[in-house]
Amino acid sequence: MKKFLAVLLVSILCLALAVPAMADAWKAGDTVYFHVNAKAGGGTDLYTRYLTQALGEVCPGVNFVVNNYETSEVGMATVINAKPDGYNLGTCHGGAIIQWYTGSSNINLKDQAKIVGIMNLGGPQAIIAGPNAPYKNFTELAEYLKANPGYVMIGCSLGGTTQMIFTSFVEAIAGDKDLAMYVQCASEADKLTNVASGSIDIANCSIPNALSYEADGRLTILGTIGPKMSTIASMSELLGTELGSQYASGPEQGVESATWDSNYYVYAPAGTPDEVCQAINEAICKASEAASFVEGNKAMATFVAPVNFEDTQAAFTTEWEFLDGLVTGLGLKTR
Amino acid sequence: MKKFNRTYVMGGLCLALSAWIVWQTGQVPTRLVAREPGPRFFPYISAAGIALFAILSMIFDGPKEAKNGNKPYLDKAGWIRLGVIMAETVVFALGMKYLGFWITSMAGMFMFIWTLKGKKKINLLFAILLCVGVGSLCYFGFTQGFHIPLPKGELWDAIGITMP
Amino acid sequence: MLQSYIEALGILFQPTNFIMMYLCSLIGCVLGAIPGLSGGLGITLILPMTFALTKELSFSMLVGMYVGGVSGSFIAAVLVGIPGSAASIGTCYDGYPMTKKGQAARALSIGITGSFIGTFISIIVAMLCSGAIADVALSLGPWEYFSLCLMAITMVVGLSNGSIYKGLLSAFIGFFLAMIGADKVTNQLRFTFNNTNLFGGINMICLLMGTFALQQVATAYAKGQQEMPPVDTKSLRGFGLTLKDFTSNLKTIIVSLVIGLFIGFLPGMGSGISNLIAYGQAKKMDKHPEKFGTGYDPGVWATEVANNAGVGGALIPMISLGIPGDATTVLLLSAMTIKGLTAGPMFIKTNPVVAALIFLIVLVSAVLIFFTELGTKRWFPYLLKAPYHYLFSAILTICFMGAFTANTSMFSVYLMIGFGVLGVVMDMFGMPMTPLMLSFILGPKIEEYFRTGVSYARGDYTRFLTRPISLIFILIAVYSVVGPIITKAIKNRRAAKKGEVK
Repeated sequence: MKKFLAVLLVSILCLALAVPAMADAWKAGDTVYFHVNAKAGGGTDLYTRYLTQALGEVCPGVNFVVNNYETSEVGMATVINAKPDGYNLGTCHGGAIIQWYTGSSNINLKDQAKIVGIMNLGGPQAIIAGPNAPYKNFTELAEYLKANPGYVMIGCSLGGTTQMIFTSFVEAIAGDKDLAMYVQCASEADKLTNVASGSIDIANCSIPNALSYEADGRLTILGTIGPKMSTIASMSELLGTELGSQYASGPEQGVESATWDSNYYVYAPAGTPDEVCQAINEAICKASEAASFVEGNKAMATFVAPVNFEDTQAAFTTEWEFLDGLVTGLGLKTR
Repeated sequence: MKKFNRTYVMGGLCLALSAWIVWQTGQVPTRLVAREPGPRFFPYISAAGIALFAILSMIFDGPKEAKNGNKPYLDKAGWIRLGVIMAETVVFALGMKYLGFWITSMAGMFMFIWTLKGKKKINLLFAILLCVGVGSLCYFGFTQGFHIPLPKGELWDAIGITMP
Repeated sequence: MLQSYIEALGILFQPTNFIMMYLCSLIGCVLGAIPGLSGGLGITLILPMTFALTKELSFSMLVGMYVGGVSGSFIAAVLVGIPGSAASIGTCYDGYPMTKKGQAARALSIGITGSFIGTFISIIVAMLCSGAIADVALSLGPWEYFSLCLMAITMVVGLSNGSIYKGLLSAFIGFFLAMIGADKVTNQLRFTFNNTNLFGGINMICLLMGTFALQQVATAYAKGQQEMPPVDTKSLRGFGLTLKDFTSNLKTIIVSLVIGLFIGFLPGMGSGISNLIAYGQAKKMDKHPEKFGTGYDPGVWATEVANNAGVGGALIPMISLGIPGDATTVLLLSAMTIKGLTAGPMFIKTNPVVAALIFLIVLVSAVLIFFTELGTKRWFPYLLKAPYHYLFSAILTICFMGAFTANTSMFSVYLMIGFGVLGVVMDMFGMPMTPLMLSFILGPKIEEYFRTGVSYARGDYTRFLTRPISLIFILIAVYSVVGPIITKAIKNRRAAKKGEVK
């Protein structure tokens, strides 16, 4: 009986200590709104839903609601204009930084928001070409680019993240970003159809789609570009399927700088107190270790890892400065 | 009320719109253009189309209207009624913004009922209950049921009242 | 594959899957019928729930909701002249006039049957030919899409009642409205005045609610015409149609089916376009085009068969290419991702049972909704017995709510009011609304495909004429505009010569 009481007392003590630590950000019974600056069903929306589902597991009793906004600007403005009490959060990726610099957006995340956490570390994308492309890997592509300057047509979102990715990529493999011609091709659907039909030469797409189209003989895979941690081994583990050598990353193909580190962030209004931000970050870190969250991101071929508040700030600043340089280099900077 | 040729008025307004479009389009930045017409091309086409068909309509439809004559679109009482109903929609919108959807939907719906009934008699109690029912069902159904936000009212936020 | 279908049938008829599919179909139908809401909204709401459900149950609910939403959108279009979504704009032009003539039950019967035919046959085609049709979709580039949209917009000429010049003027105004916001190619902001609410362009819901609901109520009240149409209660029972109704419109049904399927499987096109194109084509083919817009059966057959044929059409690229056929299939694709499935060329081979299940859900939902709507059809027109001031006050309230939720912004509500004013002004000047709608829907696509087509051709504008399919579409478009003028001129000449001879 004494032993039982002792165990019970210790359990109650542990619970008493644990519950405040987890519930610091929010209390049971509260509703937290995640405002996604994109339509329902897209990448950002799905990542956010995985996150809110996991947060619901690690913060029992707290209700997490996802609101979508057709207009990205309206979604972000809703967050930055909300009360800085930790109950209205937004999710976005580095594209928001690019939009600020190119003048497509009036929202400056650096000044008008506080980055409280990293939702995921991004994932690798396959670089695809048509089935009869005269190049099969990055080296051959680089040679072809140099031999035919301005000829190879790369489909990307002009003024957006993928143009930044590809200009950086072409610079890395061939030494000059202007060796390729960049044309508008924004959605994954357009990229797949236009590359498969030969309307454009190169684009990027998710690895699951790349696998599917490649197996059907509709595409050639030249390699992958993604976070530095992307290797054939790590990507195979992420996707749960053995990838062939054609999915080798830039560093694996001898081009160390052919990588792209871009995170998905969670942000709060600028005036949110640091202790609230810290608490939210802790909740996000716990959620990113939840099985459902890890599995969900695996299904979308995205890397996840808990990143503490200080490292989150550092990562955002690094990405901000990197994109600043890229946008300036392309002559697109308006601010 | 003096009759005017509506086609000519429409044509004039559309020509002004076309000119405005051309002026505004000239201010659109043209960065990132990769061997394609650019973001100004289609607005110019829309302006040209508006101008062209406004002129053609004035040339071909205008005289027809002048010859056949036209009934006034509305009589004086009709214009007043139109003004009233459009003003009510503006009031409804402002109510949504400042008083929130819940209160506005109930009061606003009653306002519409009272206006649209014309000279008919209505059961006041039934009308009020209907407004409260529909308004509350919409508001709570969306906000509590589906978690889709509806305006809570800036006035209540300002004075520190939290609406459900 | 047959074995997969048998297995899928067994899964579908498991009590939980079947009941939830039926329930969601009904909810989708109701949401589709209410102006300002849609089946897509329903899918957005239940999508988060599917995280915790099996994939079979998830698809049963989501696909059922999809089919219900598309099927239900004609109800409000017929009964009150306000489309439930862009897919039923065309239905208003003859469905509502039929209601005003006291033929609501007949219009509903045509809508119900047309919806069923469109969905059922399109899904059969999808089941049998998705691979081949997907290959066709892959062979098309922006040049063909542009030419197709151009061909579609020449239907504008045929849809205008009254002055052709005012119709084209209305079309170009719609074109201009579509330019507002960030352009789809270079993301440059146009006509936004730095208003963030306009960065994404004008929302279709605001335009629909303003120009249909608000304008209709405002002008009816201003003209003192707040009366509900008569309801012929004798005709409410039974099927409401005879075999002759069906056979005499067979050509319209077949052509509309093909249009709906074709537009549906082209990625990104959607039912908002197909219903108007089918309407325009039906009017051109009919012996009595002047009857369109007065409450004419083929007008309702054409739109409802076409917009529902888009269901099967949109599923083809979704399953075979992993590409959404319309805005709602984007959500279905997300659901597949959540369940760890990758739609694409290998999907049917690697997940034959799931593919078969999705097709069967559509088929069975369509049948269930058909019989449910037929069975409950007799009660729908009783809605018209509600006094005008109660019914339309409720509709207006829901429209305000729908406009707000479209973009979660009060600005959308102000826009809706603005479009209501525009609708009244256009009505006053005798400018038809249909060309504006079609141009608004097609405008962004025409611009995007033209500019990307020129870009992909490295500045070569002749590519639109050197690609055979693109050339065919352009020739059809030119003929659509020029043909009737030439035909009329030849007729007049012959008539004049005959007159001279006499």
